[in-house]
Amino acid sequence: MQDVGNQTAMLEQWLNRLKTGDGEAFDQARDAVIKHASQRLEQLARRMLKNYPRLRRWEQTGDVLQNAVIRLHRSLEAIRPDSVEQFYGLAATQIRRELLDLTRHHFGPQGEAAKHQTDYPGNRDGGLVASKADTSGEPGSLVEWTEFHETVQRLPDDERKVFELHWYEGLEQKEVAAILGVTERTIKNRWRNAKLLLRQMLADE
Amino acid sequence: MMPEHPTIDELLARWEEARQDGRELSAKEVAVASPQAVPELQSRIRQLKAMDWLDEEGDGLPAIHDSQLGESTEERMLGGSVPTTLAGRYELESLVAAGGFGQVWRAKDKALERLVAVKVTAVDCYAEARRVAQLKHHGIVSVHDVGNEDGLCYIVFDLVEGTTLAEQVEREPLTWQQSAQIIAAVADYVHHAHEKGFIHRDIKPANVLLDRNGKPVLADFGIAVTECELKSEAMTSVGTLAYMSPEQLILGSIIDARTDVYSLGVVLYELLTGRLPFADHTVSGLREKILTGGPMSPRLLNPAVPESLEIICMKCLSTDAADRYASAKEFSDELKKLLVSVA
Repeated sequence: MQDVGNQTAMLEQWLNRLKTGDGEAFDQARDAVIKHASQRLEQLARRMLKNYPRLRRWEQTGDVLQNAVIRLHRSLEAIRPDSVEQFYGLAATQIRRELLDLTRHHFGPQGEAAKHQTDYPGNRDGGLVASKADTSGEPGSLVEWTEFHETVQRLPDDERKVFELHWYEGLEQKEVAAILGVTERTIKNRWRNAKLLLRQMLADE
Repeated sequence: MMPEHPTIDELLARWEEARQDGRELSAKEVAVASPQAVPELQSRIRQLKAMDWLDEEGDGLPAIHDSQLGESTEERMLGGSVPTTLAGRYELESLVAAGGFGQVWRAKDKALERLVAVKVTAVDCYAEARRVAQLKHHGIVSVHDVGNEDGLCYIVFDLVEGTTLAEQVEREPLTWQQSAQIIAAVADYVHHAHEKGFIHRDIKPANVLLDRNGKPVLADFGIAVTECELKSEAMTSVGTLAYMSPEQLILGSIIDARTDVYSLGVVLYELLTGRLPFADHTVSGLREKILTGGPMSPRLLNPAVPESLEIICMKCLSTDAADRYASAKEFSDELKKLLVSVA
């Protein structure tokens, strides 16, 4: 995962600050975490739009994403976390909500994007892109991305928490282990289970 | 050591570990001591492989910030696929600019034997052409033709020989008087468009052309929308972020003439100080600053700026649209009044 090189060190500092009640230093760490969440949101949104090169280039799309980042920033600023786990959990949930919002309201079947042709190979005749080859389970169209995010929401709590912190937040597995207070091996098992469950649930739909 | 009767989870963990070490094991190899587990293991491995993308790093895409901060390389959009002659009539000579909506070429109209500007884009541009065609004004680049060729859409405009305000400022700073004159003129053109029901929404130095006599001409109504359309659609904001008003950054906000007044204020600020009122190295940081407002006093950056001009400029940059000039005309009149008073 990108941009997490400093997360471990920052996380440790943050944990200490929560314990010692160092307000100003805590705020700084929190700001850095919010910034990281914003970058992660942008990164994931770009990933969702990678099959929509034309759409991605529209400044309008960029602006919709900008608005999502602003909202994320605002909602996280308003949170007064009791624990690192709670904060990261809420941040991940907000990221997912914004991604869902991006697909549902702006790029979904009724959205602007649905009316436009994409450059997706083999689909130059317009409309939404078809699913990618099944060898990769990555959603190809924005409709599929919506299903994907919604399915994540339905994962059992343990798997969902790991999925949110590791994928939406982009934290390394050892960082997720530290936040949730379990071993790295447990995280590996839950991550694997999450992927298997997602695959099965998406295939059933 | 693996237990004698490992669970499927344990076998999968073993498969994953080997994989992380660069060894791709088959289900049979992993479950060598428990052949009965092979079919189920095979199925799970297949499922996990289909989710490999979740473990991929990054998104493999160019940074989004570039295009949002106006430094895009949109030439890539069209690559080398632009024909050299469009409609057998417009001979493309040289690339003038590449922006968010395509490329602008200097071209020769072989039928009328004159030079024109041709904007080529990969998206349908008929709507844009129709909009601009309604705006007839000496200060607004006019449209002559529109068409499709090889899946590309093109619009033929007046060619304004000269430079852009962006290039001019980079080359040589303008005096505050020159800056005020240019912005007053552009504000008049913008007001004309407003009267016709158009809001430009993307006023920036790169969209203000300066002809050989230094007269400004407003270009790129590509994203201009009529007020009527604004009301009927939940339009999201467009334009280059640094020149965007706070209301363009908030979904559902009302965009009206005062939005263009704000952007004109940003351009004036830049002409007076050589700096943008708000800058940040990240998109989200820049947005926050625009929404918060309160740029540095232009006079601190350029003491030659008269106090009255600073007041005019800062009024345009009010975060709340209600605190700005109600119209571009009002803004232009104030600038002209100031210029007369010091003449």
